[in-house]
Formats: sequence, structure tokens, C-alpha cells
Amino acid sequence: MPSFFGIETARKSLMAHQYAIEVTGHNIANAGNENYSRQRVIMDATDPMYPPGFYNSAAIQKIGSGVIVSQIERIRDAFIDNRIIKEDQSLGYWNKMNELMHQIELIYNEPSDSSLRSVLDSFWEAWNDVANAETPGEITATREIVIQRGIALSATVNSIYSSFQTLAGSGGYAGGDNAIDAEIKVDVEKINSIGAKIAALNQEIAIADISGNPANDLLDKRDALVKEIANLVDVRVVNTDTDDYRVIAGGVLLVQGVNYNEIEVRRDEVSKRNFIFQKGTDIQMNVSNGELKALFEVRDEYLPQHMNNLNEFAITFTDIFNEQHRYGFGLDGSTGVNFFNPIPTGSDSIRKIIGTRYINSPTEALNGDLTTNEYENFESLISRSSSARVSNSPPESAYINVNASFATNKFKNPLNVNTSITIETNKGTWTSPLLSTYTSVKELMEDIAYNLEGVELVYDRNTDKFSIIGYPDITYIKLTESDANGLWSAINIDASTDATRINKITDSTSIKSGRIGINGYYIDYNADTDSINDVINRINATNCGVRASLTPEGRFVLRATADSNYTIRSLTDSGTLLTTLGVLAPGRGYTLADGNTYNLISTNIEYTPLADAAYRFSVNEEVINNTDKIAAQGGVDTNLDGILDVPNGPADGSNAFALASLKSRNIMNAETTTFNDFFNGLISKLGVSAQVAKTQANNYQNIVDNLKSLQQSISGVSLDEEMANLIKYQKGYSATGRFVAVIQEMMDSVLGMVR
Amino acid sequence: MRISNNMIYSQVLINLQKNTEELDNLYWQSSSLKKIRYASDGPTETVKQMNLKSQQSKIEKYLSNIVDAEQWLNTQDNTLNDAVTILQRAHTLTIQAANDTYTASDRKLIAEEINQILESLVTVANTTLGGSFLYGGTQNLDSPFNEKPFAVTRGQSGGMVNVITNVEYKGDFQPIYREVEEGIRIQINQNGNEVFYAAPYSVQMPDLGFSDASTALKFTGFPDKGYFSINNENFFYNVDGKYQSDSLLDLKNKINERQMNVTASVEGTYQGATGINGNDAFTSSGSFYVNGVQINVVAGDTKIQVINKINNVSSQTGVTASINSEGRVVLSGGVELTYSNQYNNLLKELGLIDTTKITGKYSYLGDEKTQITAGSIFINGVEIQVNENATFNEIINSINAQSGLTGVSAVLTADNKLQLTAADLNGLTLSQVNTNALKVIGLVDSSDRIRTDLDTTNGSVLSNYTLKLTSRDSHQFFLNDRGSGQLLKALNFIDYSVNNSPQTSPNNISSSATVVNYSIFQVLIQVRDDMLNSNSARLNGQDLELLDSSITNLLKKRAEVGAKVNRLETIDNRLNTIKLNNQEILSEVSDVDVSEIILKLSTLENVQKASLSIAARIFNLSLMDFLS
Repeated sequence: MPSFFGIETARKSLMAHQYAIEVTGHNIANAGNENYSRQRVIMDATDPMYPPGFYNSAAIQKIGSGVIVSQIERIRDAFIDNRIIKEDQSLGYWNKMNELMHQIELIYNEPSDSSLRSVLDSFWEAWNDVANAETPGEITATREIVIQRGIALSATVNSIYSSFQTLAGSGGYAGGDNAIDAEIKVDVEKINSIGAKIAALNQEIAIADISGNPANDLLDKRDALVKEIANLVDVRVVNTDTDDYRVIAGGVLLVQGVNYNEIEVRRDEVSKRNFIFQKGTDIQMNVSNGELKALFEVRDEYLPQHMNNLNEFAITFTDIFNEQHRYGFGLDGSTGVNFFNPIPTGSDSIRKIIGTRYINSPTEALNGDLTTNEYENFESLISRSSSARVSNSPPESAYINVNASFATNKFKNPLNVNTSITIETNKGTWTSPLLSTYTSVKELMEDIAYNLEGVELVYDRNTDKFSIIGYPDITYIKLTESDANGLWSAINIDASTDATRINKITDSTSIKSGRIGINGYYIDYNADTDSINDVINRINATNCGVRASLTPEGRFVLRATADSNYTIRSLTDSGTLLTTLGVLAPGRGYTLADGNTYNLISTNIEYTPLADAAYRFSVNEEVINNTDKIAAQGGVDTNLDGILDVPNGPADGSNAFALASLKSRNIMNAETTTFNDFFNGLISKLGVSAQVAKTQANNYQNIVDNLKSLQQSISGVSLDEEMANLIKYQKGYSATGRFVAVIQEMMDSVLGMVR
Repeated sequence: MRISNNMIYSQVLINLQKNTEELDNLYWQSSSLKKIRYASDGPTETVKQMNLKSQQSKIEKYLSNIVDAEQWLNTQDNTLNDAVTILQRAHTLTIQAANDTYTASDRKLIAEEINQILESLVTVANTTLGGSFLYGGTQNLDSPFNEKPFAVTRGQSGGMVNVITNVEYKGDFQPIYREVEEGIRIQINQNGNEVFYAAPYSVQMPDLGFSDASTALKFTGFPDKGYFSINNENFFYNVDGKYQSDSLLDLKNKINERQMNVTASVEGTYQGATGINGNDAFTSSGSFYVNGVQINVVAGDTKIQVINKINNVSSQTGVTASINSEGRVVLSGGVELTYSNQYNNLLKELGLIDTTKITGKYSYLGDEKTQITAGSIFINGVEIQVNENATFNEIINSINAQSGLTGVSAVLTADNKLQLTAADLNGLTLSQVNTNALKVIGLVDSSDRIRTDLDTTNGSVLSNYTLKLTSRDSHQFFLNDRGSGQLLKALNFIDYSVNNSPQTSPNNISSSATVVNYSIFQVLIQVRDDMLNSNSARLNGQDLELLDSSITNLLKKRAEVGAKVNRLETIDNRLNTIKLNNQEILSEVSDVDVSEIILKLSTLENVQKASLSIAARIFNLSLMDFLS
């Protein structure tokens, strides 16, 4: 055993303890660093000087050679780490959600006294005051007030809507990014910079690893950075191999080892909104958690919903309110004036179709018995129509009814007749091409309906008869053709007769039962038993996105709602109800797909409003500038065409009252909700969502706090512990010193012996 | 568990943060006294609050409407009271003046006072409330363009000059409402055309020479179809003379069917053909119909008894019968006599009908197409086929072809009606199968009863038939032609203009129509003039009666006002209760309980203090402190 063996052991010990003290110091220094994982010095006894073997004495073999610091361990629980990363994502999501919901809440400003609801309430009240105004002073004053309240209402809706726009709108009129899109951009920048840092760290860690020095502090840094990303977006770390550290965020590989794949925000020009892509590729980030998810969700789901609701409110409110307002009279005798500006329309699609006929008795069967009592009601129904088939005098319509023995399927077969037909009426003349060019009789029918006003070739499957029908203004029909033995003889129509009312329509007053088709939904009606109200209820029960109702003056109206994107795509009727009501002109049904609107009566159509209707909701300047035009008065319909002609006196507030009563009419949500309740519904939905967000944010905060606590419990620095360690290592160091002193003394003794 | 320093710090911080948050919330609550700041603080409560607030604002509105309505009604009450007082004075004066001891000059003096009363009553009727007329309907503003509800014409009468000679109502009959509860509107005005009336108002068309009340009307120069209105009820009419067009009786029925405040009657009298002995008895049993009401005759009934049976149902038929000095039966009121399915002699025995002919109700040119549907008619059991849209000429030919069998022949009358003739129609049966021919011709009525012809050869129409409209209670009504209709003008009820100045209802009554219009003003004018003319008989009779009924009507209107005020008070009470309850609920939902908040606050403050001081201690604690 060498003499300096002990010294060597002591040296190792001193170094090890010094090392340990330094690590302890490092721990103490990082006591306040949350991301720091405490480190522990692992001391290993070094190998004995002589390895066990036969040539050594057993005693020698037992002498140890001291201590060495084998490793500085980073105390970390990877499981908790992963959990924190996971819960951090949800926390980021709910925190953001909570923040955004709170912003929406502030925009609505409920339950304060300056909210939309209270503005609406005072608007109704003002109308009630107008209805009650009798004296000249009252009349002027209440009108001024109602205008101001109207402006306040529209301004409130506008301002709420534009707040939403600023927050999440398409930026269509404001231009640039909305607030949420801007925030998304910032988040993406953050992710990029963090990702780049992680990649750089990976480089350093790799180098450290190669040099055999565990890069504990670098790992801490990297974990902290991953957590930061987790707050923003769902993130996954795959770390199967130290060289291959991958960070996957929203399905996009952000970091692979030392490489960083940047992400970028791209603006979708259609929706005018930002989406995240991997730079230079078409790989879109599919955000499923974190702050970004909240941003996307609020931008694409919550706010659009609120904006749609506001638009729906603006469109419906304007529509319904104007209808009633137009019905009444202003002080100056004006009528037909809009209170709100109609929402501008922009497309060819049709939102609303109004019938031309006025209906007296919506609860009576469409075809009442022509007994003396009902004769009167019936007559009035007919005489009120501008496009009725029968007018007061004379009920002249051309109607040729022919017995034609055509097999039913011929309707769809081609016509092998080499003739071209000419139909002449008082409204015009049309000559067809050679009939052999048509692929079916049906095509010919359509061509006739399209080319000739008020004339139709119809085929009745039940009786197997073809007829040529002339509608109200047609006083005569004359049929000729190039080949005398052509079509007319084929279908047995006697073309030689000038068809001036060969047969007066004795049943002209009855409506043919049939089936109405709206946007692909079908509603059957029986003209003998159903009333207009029945038909209306049936249409509304289908939820086809088109609501039927009667206008204040009693005209049938179809309105597309938000559900159908404010578009009536198709409208057909196999019977004659819709033509009788003046909704469709005689002929085929209407479909948007055709691009043809020839079968609608153009004056009775309203088109689909432009987007952002709520922003365009405003009071008509004509009314603002001249409050006399406010239609408070009702009137008398002296010529019985459904429209009031003679106003009542100035004290009459019946129309204003009707307007004020709209507050309690179920109009919204398929005629189940009043305007006020519609808002209450919005607010309560919002309130619940916001409450959930608030609670969830709290819950996740607690979870994350607990996890962090747990992590701190494992990785955190305890000063007491470090103090104890410090003392331990210090004492160890001192003792080693002592040991060296003993050896020195021993050496002295040995050397002294020589002296 | 191992506790690291960071754990202690962050735990303490988190808890302190929570406390502070809670404190902030409590401070907000205690300073605003509201429970809920944002909708998310309590979605249900928020919506409840919103609803309650909306409801409260509605109730406030109703309450103020009630106050307003009460003001209107109270003012009316006062004016009506004034009017009654004034009229009572007039009543007293009239009793005096009617006294025979008064001389003509005495009466003239009283007439002066009556004139004053008239003037002041007009003022009362034109009372305004805040610039708005009480009794003008919705025509309520006093402006150069709007006349007062009661416009006066001045002139001279019996030596007095510049006195009121006529008072016209210029207002309308539109109601003014106040909404006093959800969906409940109370009419707060009474219109002048109802209040200031003494007797039922009636308008009767002039004699236009209608000798038959049941035949279809036909006019030349006026539209065949259209509408007319009485107040705001619209009536459709058809007078093209063809199937389903209206007779005077049809018009009357149409109006009366609506059960409105105006009733129609057909006036006119018919005198039977021959004198009869009222005590003669019928030898056979049977029945006939008067205006659709069945009269049963049992063999042995005397003619007087049958006439009484007719009179017993006169409220339904509008027809009264009597026997005049010549022994002829006189029927007053528009009448249509029919048999159920077989013609009999009962009416002939009363001397009322001509049993040699029946004339159809409707008229068609001989070769004009009709609305007849194909089928068969049976005359005395003999089948006669009719084609679709058969013309009268075709039908007459077919009937005459069978006259050998039926004993009945047909002719077209000068006014284009189809007439069946026979030596004696007694026992005739008429029926139809698959066709409406008999109805379209008008030989049977809508219930398939066989029509009869009044015997105008031997009997006579003493006064022609006219239509008369009468109000049920004392009020004036408004007549208008509507749409393209001109019936009321054609019947001379109304005129559109006089001397080129357009007439508006209710002052558009034709000068040739007979009007009974006793507005209270008219009554007073009559009383005054009767005094000036010393017409003591009428003063004592009709004038006093009219004054009485004037007062009665005013009192009735006043009672209505009182009843409404009572009703309003009830509603007012109820609304106030609801309002209080709502307030309570609202306060429960939205207001904080101050003492609770303060208690919470102080508890929390203590907690906060405690946690702070504990934190201070823990943070101080460290092993280092004990190392020397």
C-alpha cells in the first residue's frame, strides 16, 4: 500500500465535497427560479486500489480509494412535466376564452340600463306614446322622441355590430386585420421565436451530451419554452432519442432536433381571415387547444353566431316594422313610407316574395261553398286581387278544355310531329320551332309558358286531358299551325275555332289542390278544406328556412330566414294556390338554379340583403327630416283593395299602436320569440358560455397550480435542505482536511523516525 | 410530501390573489348594491332581471296610460254632467212653456233662454282637453283645416237672427284607445254621433217605384256589383238581375245578419185582392211561408187566427198583417210568400196571391246563356230536361212542349223573367234533379221553396217598397259606397256631392231620402222654434219626450264613463300590486343584502389579514436563521 494513498483519497474527497458545495450553491442561487430543477450530487465510492484477486491479501483488497462525483443529477418528474404541458394548453384555451367572452359581455353591456334591451324597451314605449298623442304639442313631441329612440336603437345595433366586426369581422369595410386575427399573428410570432430558441438549445444540448456533460440547465430552459408554446397551442413532445427531439404543435412539426420549421399566417381572401400554415407549404395548422384555439373558436363560431343573430334581428326588424309602418298614414296623409331604410340588397337571390292578392278571411277554406252566405266572402277575395282569374266584371277568361286521349307517358315522350304551331292572343303571338325538335311535350309546355304571357298548355294526369288556359287578361286565343294535321289534331284541340271563350270557366273561382315545394320541402294542401292559415302553419312547420305569413294588409308573403341564408332557392306549386295568391305568375315554378325569374312577379320580390345587415340598420332620413311622415294613423279602405286609402283623424294612433304591439308579437326564431326575448336568449346563452369559461379557467388554473406545486415538490429548491446539505458537505470537507492533517502527522512521524 | 420554498411562496400568493379578487367583487357589490356585474355572474338571474325590467317598464307605461285615460274620462264625466244640468233646465222651461196659460210672447222670451242653452250645449259638445276635442273621434284637432266636431249653421228663425239653425257632426266614429294591460285596450273617447242623440236615427230611401220586395234588383247606369258600408262594416251586393243577385229583402237580410247597431227593414204595403170575412174558417190544413218563416194552418182556423199567426212572427219576418175596412188583408213590410214543395190555395183564400202565374226572380235575355247546369226539372211530375247553360227561350220551349201533360206553360215577361202560367196553379209541384235551373230562373228560392206572385191585378201595392235603415239606440251612423259599388247612391240613400261640393258621411244623406235625425241640438232647435211659433201641442208632447230621452241618453253615456273609470281603478290596483311584487323580485334578484355583504367583507378582511401575517411568519422561517 503506497504511502500517499491516503492523500490521494483525501484529494478526491475534498474535490467531491467542493463540487457538492458548489452544486448546493447553484441550487440556492436558483431558489427563486421557477423553471429550475434542483440538482443533486451523486457521489460514488471509487474502486478499491487493488481489484480483488488471488495475488492480493484480503486486507488490502478491502481498502477503498475514496469518493468521486459520478453525476450531477437533475431532479425532475417527466410524467408531471407532460401533464403540466397538457393542462397548460387547456388553461391557455380557457383563459383566452374567458377574456374574449368577457369582452363580448362588455359589448352587450347587460344587465346595465344602457344596453340594447333597454334601448329597445324605450323604443317601444315611444311608439306607445305616439299612439296616445292627441294634442298638437304631444303629437310633435312624441314624434321627435320616437325618431331619437329609433336612431338610438339603430346606432346601438350598429355599434355592437361594429364592435364585433373589430373583434372578429371579415374586415370587409374596415380593412386590415381584426383584433383576433392580429392576436393570432402575434401568437404565431411568439411560437416562431420560441421554436427557434428550442432548436438552438437542442444544438447546445447535443454538444453538451457529446462532451459527456449533462446539460441540466439547458434542459430546464427547453422545458420552460415548451410550456410557453403549450399555452398557445396544443403541443406534443416526442423525445425517443436525445438526438431526435421533436416538438409537434397543432399537427405541425415545429422542431426536429436542431431544425426549426417556421409557421406563418396567411390571409384567406374569401373569408378575409387569417389561418396558420407551415411556411412555404400547404400544411395547415390544425389547432385543437391552447390560446389559439380560443381565438379561432371565438372568431369563427361564437362571434359569427352573435353577428348572424344581430343581422337576423336587423333584417327581420326592418322588414316587419316597415311593413306595418307602410300600412299606416302620416300626419301629412303620406302612406307607404318606410321607417327604417330597407337593408340594401346585393345579389340575385330572392329573400321575400309577396303575393299580389289580398286575403279577407284567412281562416276560411280556400274554396268555400258558393252558398249565399259565403258567396260574399268569396267574391271579395276574388275582387281584391289584381291578378285574379275572375274580376268583378266581366269574368272573361279563355279556356279551352279538350278531350285528348294521350297515354300518360306521352307527356315525357318526344313529339314526332312536323309542324310548328302559332298561338295568338290579345297579348301577343308566338310561333314555335318544328315540334319534332322538342325532346318532350313537357319542353313544349315550358316553352309556351316562357314565351307567351298568360297562356299555358297544361296536362292533367288524372283526366288525361290537355288544355290551353288563358289567364285573366287573355280575352281570346287563336291556334294555328303549319301542318293542318299536326299537333292540334293530334291532341284533339280544334284549332279552327277562334278560341274566344269556347267554354267560360265556370269553376274558375276554385283553386286547384296541390303541393307547394319550397327549397326542396313539400307541403300538400287541399283547397276545399284548408284555409290560408292552415297552409301557412304547415309551411312554417317544415322549418324549411322560409316562413310564410300575411302582411298587415293581408297579402301572402314568403320570407327566407337566416337558416336558408335568406334565399328562396325554389318555389313550385302543382296546384293553383300560389298563382291565385299572385305569388307566382302562371307557368312553371321558380327555381334559382335555373337563373330564371320569369315566373315571379318582379314588383313583388325582395332580394337577399348584403352581409353586415346590422351595420346597415338605420332610420329612414325621409322620416327623420319630416316627422309628419311617421305613420301613426290607421285609415279606411274605401275601395276595398286591401290598402287603406283615407286616413283617420290625427288623434288616431291605431297604426302606432300596431307598431308598438310588435314588441309582444312572436316574430323571431320561426315565430316563437319576441324581439325582446330574442335578445334575452342571446344574453343568457352568452352568460352561460362566459360563466363556463370563467369556471373552467379557474379549474384549470387550480389544476396547473397543483401540478406545479407537485413539480416544485420534486424539483423545487428547499433552502433548508440546501443549508443542511451545505453543512453536511462543509463538515465533510473539514473532516477531510482533518484527515489530511492526520496523514501529514503520520508522515511527519515516519520522517521523524529517520532523523 | 417534500415542500420546496417556491411552493410556499406561490401557494401563499395564489391564495392571497384569490382573496383579493373576492374582496374586489365584494367591494363592487357593496358600493353598487348590485349582485350581478356581468351576465356571466349569473346568466339566469341576468335574464330574469332583463325580463323583469322590461315588464316593469311596460307596467309603468300602462299605469301612466291609466292616469291619462282617467283624465279623459273624468273630463267627459264633467261635460256630460254639465250637459245634463243644462238640459234639465231646458226640460223645466219646456214644461212651463207648454202650459196653456203662457202667451206667445211669453214663449218667445223662453225661446231666448232655450237658444242660450243650445249655444252652450254646442260649446260643451265641442269641449277640448289639451287642445284635443273630446267628442270628435279621431278628427280631434282644432285647426283651420279641421272643423269642430259639431259645426253650426246660423240663420234666422221666427224673428230671431243669427241663431243656430242646423248642427252637423263633422267628426268620425273611430275609437281612441289606451292600452291599460297587455292586449287590453280601453276606448277612452265617446264619439259625438253617439252621445248627443235623443232618438234612434233612421234613413229611408225615397220611393223608386219598387212594387215587389222579393224580385232581383237591376239598375241601369250603375255598377252591377260592389260594396257599400254602414259604419265600418262592408257589404257586398250584386244587382245584375241574374242568378244570386239581390232583392230589397236580400239586402235587408244581409244587413240584419251582421247583428250590428243598425237594422234594416223593407217598408211598403200591399192590399189583398178581395174582401174576406175574418171569421171564415179554412177548410183544409197546410202551410205557407212568410219571408221564410213557416205559418201552419189547421183546418178550422179562422182567417183572423191565421193573420194573428202571421203577426206573431212579425219580429222575424218584418211583416204585419191586418184586415182593412173593405175586408182586404193588408200586409205591411216587404214580403215574399212561398210554399214548401206544393202550391196550395191557402194564400189565395186570404186574397193575397195570383194563382195563375209564378214569375221568376231573375232576368235573362231570351237567348242569353245562364249558369244553369244540365239535369231535369219536374213540373207536376213531368220531366223536362235542361241543358248546361240553357237559355230561357230553350227552357220555355221545353216546358211548352210538355204543357199538354203538365197543364203549365211558360212565357218570357217584358222584363225578361220566366213566368209559369196555368189556369190554376193550385196543387202544382216543382222540383229539380241534377240541375239548379229552378233556382237560376228564380221560380224557387235558395231553400227550394216555390215562390208566389202577389195578386196585383185585383190587389194593389198601396205604397211601394223601400229600404229603411234604423239605428238600434240613439246614434247617427255613416253610410258610404265602397270600392266600385254605387248601390247607396243608386237607391238614393246618399249623394256624393251637392252643388259640386263633395259630401262626406254622415252628412252625405241624399235630399230625397227620409231622415229622422234627432240630435240633441236638433231637439233644442225644434223646441226653440216651437216656442217661437207657439206650437204648444208639440211642446207638450214630442218635444218633452225628446228632451227626456236626450237626458236619458246622456245619463247612460255618463254611466258608461263611470263604469270605465271603475274598471280602470281595478286594473290600476292590480297593476300596482304586480309592480310591487316585481320590484320585490327584482330587488331579490339584483340587489345585494347589505348586511350579508358587510359580514362577508369583514370575514374576508380578517382572513386576508391572517393569511398575510402568517405568510410573513412563514417567509421568515429558515434554517439559516438558526445557523451561527
